[in-house]
Amino acid sequence: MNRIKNGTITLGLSQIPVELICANPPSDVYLKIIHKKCNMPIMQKWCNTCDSRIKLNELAKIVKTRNVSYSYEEAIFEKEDIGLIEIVEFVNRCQIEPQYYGKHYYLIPENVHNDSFFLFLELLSNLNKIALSKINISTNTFNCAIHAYESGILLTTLHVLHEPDIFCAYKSDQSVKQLTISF
Amino acid sequence: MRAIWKGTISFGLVNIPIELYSAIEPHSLGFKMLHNECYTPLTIKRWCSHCDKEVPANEIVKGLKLPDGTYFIITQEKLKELKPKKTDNLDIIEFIDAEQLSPLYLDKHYYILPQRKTDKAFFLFIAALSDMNKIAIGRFVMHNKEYICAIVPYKKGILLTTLNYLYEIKQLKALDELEVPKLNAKELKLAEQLVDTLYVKKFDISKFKDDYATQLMERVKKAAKGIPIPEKEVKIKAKEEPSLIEALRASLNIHNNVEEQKARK
Repeated sequence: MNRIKNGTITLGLSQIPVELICANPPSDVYLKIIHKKCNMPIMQKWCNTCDSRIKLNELAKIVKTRNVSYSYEEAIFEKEDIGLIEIVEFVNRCQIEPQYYGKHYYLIPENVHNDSFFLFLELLSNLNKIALSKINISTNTFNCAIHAYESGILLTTLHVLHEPDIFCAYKSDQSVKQLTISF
Repeated sequence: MRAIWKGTISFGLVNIPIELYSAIEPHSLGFKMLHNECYTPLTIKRWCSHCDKEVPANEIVKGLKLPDGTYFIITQEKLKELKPKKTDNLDIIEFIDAEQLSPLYLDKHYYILPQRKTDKAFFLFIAALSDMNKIAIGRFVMHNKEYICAIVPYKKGILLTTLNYLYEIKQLKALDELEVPKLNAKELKLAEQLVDTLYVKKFDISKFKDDYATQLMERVKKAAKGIPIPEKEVKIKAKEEPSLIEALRASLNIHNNVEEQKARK
């Protein structure tokens, strides 16, 4: 079912245990490159200095900055993930522009008899609002939007702000605004 | 910045030459994989584990994995036949109301700019979309793949978002099987009050930072200065779960107390 993790939505002091499920997992149908002679998949990680194949337990990770690279065990950066999805604010649906949306996940109640999940769902759909929160998925923390979707809840990660100012060079022709077109 | 695609938006007899730019920048603090003995960045070699040798380009074919673990080989000629024909047209298929598009369908985001800075048709198209609060649904071919996309006005330009095909979206049975219990009107009322306290009129994305990247950079800076890094983070434990109505009341009380204290100051 592509279940990613269990977690708890917290709204004030109320807690809603949920399960997180990937909404658009990678397709089962994809092309792999394979060796023509033996029909076996090919791809290996190779170290050019040692001129040898590298196994998983021989890997290290580094953080690369502009001038210098530092190496650390990745575990140092890992926080204990207690699966909290703490609601920090609510906004109207139309307030979030589509370019901030990243990956999609379904949220379903951990216990189907839990009223608080359905109360939260009712709340989101009645008020037509989106809840904003943070979530830890693997080692990363994402900002996320939580919205009502059909009979369940959809959680969508949000990209952090990055806007190349490419639109500044272009000035729209204000006279165009006066015209109307019907499709 | 280089355009990743150049083409023409076409609907009816109108053609608008455009350029496409990626709207999302990859994470700037990505990890690199190194060999833990010599710290050399790894390269990927096309190595066949079965024949135990590096495979030259002329010995490589593409295949689809079958359920029994074997591969169905597809030749380059066959692949060429299957690939969509290269076209520079972005055809507008239909227009829909803005609220009709579920966020679940949204995939990757791109900015669209006119090829000619003063192209009146481009700005006319934007004006029409914003005045009517409509989204244009289009189809185009980029990098040998056919995409369905949503086109919305954004600032002085246009935002193009590719859409997930229906087959790419998981149809979750558990969602249809949920049975909504009878909800308590009092609880709903209290919850709505709680939403009001956390409601902000304007969404400001700049308030939401990438904590992980910031924390990582802080640690890198500290380590560079020789300051020891604590081994463990402070653990936050979830409290025992109070009853729903108690929790909602207590949350509202806390919020009201904070507001009162602010007012006194």
